[in-house]
Parts: sequence; C-alpha cells; structure tokens
Amino acid sequence: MDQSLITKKIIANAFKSLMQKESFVKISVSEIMKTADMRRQTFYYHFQDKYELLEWVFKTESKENISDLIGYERWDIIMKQIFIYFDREQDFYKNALAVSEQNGFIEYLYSNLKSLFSRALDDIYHTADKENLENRNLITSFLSHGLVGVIKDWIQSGCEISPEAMAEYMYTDLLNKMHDKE
Amino acid sequence: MKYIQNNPKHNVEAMLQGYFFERKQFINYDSKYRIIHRNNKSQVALISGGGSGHEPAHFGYVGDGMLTASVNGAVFVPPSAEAILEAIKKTDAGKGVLLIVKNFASDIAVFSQAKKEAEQIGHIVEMIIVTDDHSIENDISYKKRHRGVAGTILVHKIVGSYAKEGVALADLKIIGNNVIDNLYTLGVALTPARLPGNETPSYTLDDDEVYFGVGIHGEEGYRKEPYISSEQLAIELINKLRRLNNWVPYEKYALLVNGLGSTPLMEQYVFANDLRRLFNMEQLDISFVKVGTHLTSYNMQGISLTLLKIVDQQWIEALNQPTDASHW
Repeated sequence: MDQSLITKKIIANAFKSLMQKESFVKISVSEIMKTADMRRQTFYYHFQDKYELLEWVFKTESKENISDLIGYERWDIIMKQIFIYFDREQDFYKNALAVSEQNGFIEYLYSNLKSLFSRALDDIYHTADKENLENRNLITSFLSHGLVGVIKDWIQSGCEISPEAMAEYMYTDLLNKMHDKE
Repeated sequence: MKYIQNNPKHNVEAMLQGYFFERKQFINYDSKYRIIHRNNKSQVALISGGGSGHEPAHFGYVGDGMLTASVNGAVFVPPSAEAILEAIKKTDAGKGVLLIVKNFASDIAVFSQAKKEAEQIGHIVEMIIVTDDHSIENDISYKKRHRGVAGTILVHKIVGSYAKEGVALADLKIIGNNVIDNLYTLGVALTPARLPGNETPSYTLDDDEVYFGVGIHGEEGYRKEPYISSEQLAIELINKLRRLNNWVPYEKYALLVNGLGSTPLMEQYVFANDLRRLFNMEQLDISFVKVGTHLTSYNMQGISLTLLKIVDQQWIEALNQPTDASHW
C-alpha cells in the first residue's frame, strides 16, 4: 500500500497527544491508532514501530519549524519561533528526551539549526565568502551544538524562562555581540 | 506553444464580446471602455477590475449580490482611469461607489485617479485595497508582499452581499477592510504562465520542481523544491498560514482553493481533500469551502490556498447568499 504523508502526520499527532500524559514505554501502537481513529494495520504501512515514529516526529518537526522557514522569514524571527514551538510542545519533548534509545532529537535539530545559522551569517555579514567556508563551518557547528544543548536544558528545566526571552538572549547576547567584535 | 486566438492584440476585446454573447440577458457591455456592468438603481455600486489574464476575475463576478461592474485592461495591464471613471458614471445610483482594487502600484494609480476625477464631478467614491498575498517581496527584507490575489473574490462576495442588503458606502468600506485584514493567500506553481506574444516567463522551473509563494503576474516565490505530491503542497502552504495565524482548535475559517489557470478540477479537489484531512487534524472549523478556477495567472499550472479568518459570523451568511454572477 502507498504511504501517505498526511496519514503519517495524523498518526504522529495522535502519538504526540498521548505523550502529553503517558510515558513512551507505556504507549502501544494499538493505543496510538485508536486515538488516531485508524486501523492498527495502517500504522505498519507507515512505520516499523513506535521508535521509528518518534524519529520521524523529530525529523519532520525540526524541518518544518526551522529549514522550511528559511527564505520565508528572517533568521531571528525563526529563532524566536523555535523557542515558541518547543515551549508549546514541552510536555512531549520532556517525555521524549527521557527515551534512552534515541538520538534523533539531537541529530535533526543540529542539522536544521546549522542551516539556520548559515543563513544568519549570510544575513549578518551580507556575504557568502567562499574563502571563509572553513571558518564558517566551525562557527555554525559551534553555535548549533550549543543551541541544541541550550534547548535541551531549557526543556528539561520546564521552560522557566519565556521563549521570547530565550530568543532575545540568543541573538542579542551571542550573535550580535559576535558581529560587534568584527 | 499554441493558443486559441486570432490576433493576440484583440484577444481581450474578443473575449469580452464572447462573454457578452453568452450572458446578454444578465449584463451590459461597453465595448469602447471594455466594461462589463449591470443595471443599478438602488444600491452602492461595487466596481472592480484590473489587467485581463486573470479570468474569470473580475467580469465573472458581475451579478446580483456581487459586483456592479468590472473594468478590463489589456493582459496584465490595468485599464485606463478614463474607463474606470466611465464605469463609475454608468453605475452610480446616487448611493456612492466602492472600488475594490488589488494591491498593485499601477492598479492603485489608475483607480485613485478615476476616484479623484469622479469626486470632482460630484460622485461619492471610496476605495478598498486587497492585500491577501502572504508571500515575500524578497529574501533581504522578508517583507510580506501583500499583493491582491485570489482572496479578492471573497471580498467581492461578502461586500456584494452587504451592498445588496442596502448597507451604506461608509459601512461597506469598513466591512471590506475588516475582511481584508483577515485574509491570507499563498500559491504554488508547477509551471509559470506563458502569455501570447511574450512567452518568456519571469522564472523557470525544472520539470520536477514546484515554486512556493508565486504571484499572479510572474512574481517569484520564496522556495523551489522537488515535487513529491499534492500532500506536500498542502502541508507546506498550511504550515506557513498556521505560522502567520497561530490558530487554535475550533477557530472558524472560510477556505478558497483556487486553480491558477491550467489546473484540472480533479487536481484541485484532490488538493482540497488533503486540506480537509489536515484541517481536521488541526481541529479548525472550516465553515465555508469553495473550490475552482476563480482568479488565475493566465495559463499557469498551480494552485492557491486562501483562508479567511471569520471574525463575524455574518460573513459566512454573506458568502452563502445566492448570486447570479456567472463564475461564483
């Protein structure tokens, strides 16, 4: 049977809503599909198991909330949006980060943030100087690894600081200061 | 490329004659000024128009409960101020005139000029400017482009319905602007438009590519991407509109799915079905749905998605009122 992207999204949506209140280990495929109002078999047309589903959520949501916005919104607006997104979905992520058999969260968030920071450097310096590529890779890698860690800690501490303030710290205290030194 | 035409210079004139041939029991046609209009004795006159090439907009919306007149320019070129002034004279029944203009600098220039001249000879004229295009100007400023595109049709319908009920000009202007403030459109192209006499499109797309955020006169979009499926298009456009609206479950919207010229209805309904599933997942209350080829970019293959956030339940009633406009 052909896969449907929207069916995947509906399954993921049901799964995320269950993850608001239950731990990952307790959630069964039957329960997910009952919540999604679909046949249990449909799950297996789209995912091997709930681990693959969890990975898919990490992958899809970081792409849709970061990379897909590049070119449509300015990088600082996207940054703010990332914090707003994680704040809204914090119960899901707190739960998801407790699943030990996964590292997709870090992997996908990192690669999408790297694209974002690359674009941010272009916008800040108004140049895509090829000679600086190595340096640029180092900067975007540093910032992306850093921000993944910041977001992880922030989620695990219950998003105490507001998403707007988090975004503000990121670009006034980090990126703009970098720019000032130039 | 082949076109069903004789002389491209006379296409607009020939098209309007052909339309009048079909609809002469319902409408009038002024061939000198290229105005399609209906008789108006009792209400505020609603006039729209602009360049041709967006059919059935706008003459297809001249009818009872919608527009009083459509003033039609050459392909992608606005009509003259003189023609708009003529339309005002023909349709003003003493209750005033509301001009509904898509936000393009050249359109606003001629409609403003006509408004000024009409006021000098005693007409009362107001203008509303439709700005529903939420693509971006460019990726330096990231400013929203705010041109007037497919959502204009919903403005025609809602304001048209209120005008028929006898609502006064000043109030129609307020209602129209309120609708416009809640109107969001984004389109996607599978191929650019190719015009008779000017076949070089302003951008090119590979066979397997789509372009999100394109305009209706060859304006560029915000991202090219390899094409996968209708679902991919629906997800991308809804994600962007969700970003702009920050909607929450149970909010009410009206939906317009619009073919951009060469998109078969089957494909438009396939796309509409994807939207149905996504809105259902988002738990939005889609209180009104319209699917079809309504405001085009000549022969572009592509589709646009318009959402109107319903802040007044009467808008839904206005959208549902009957009209005899040929293409609503």
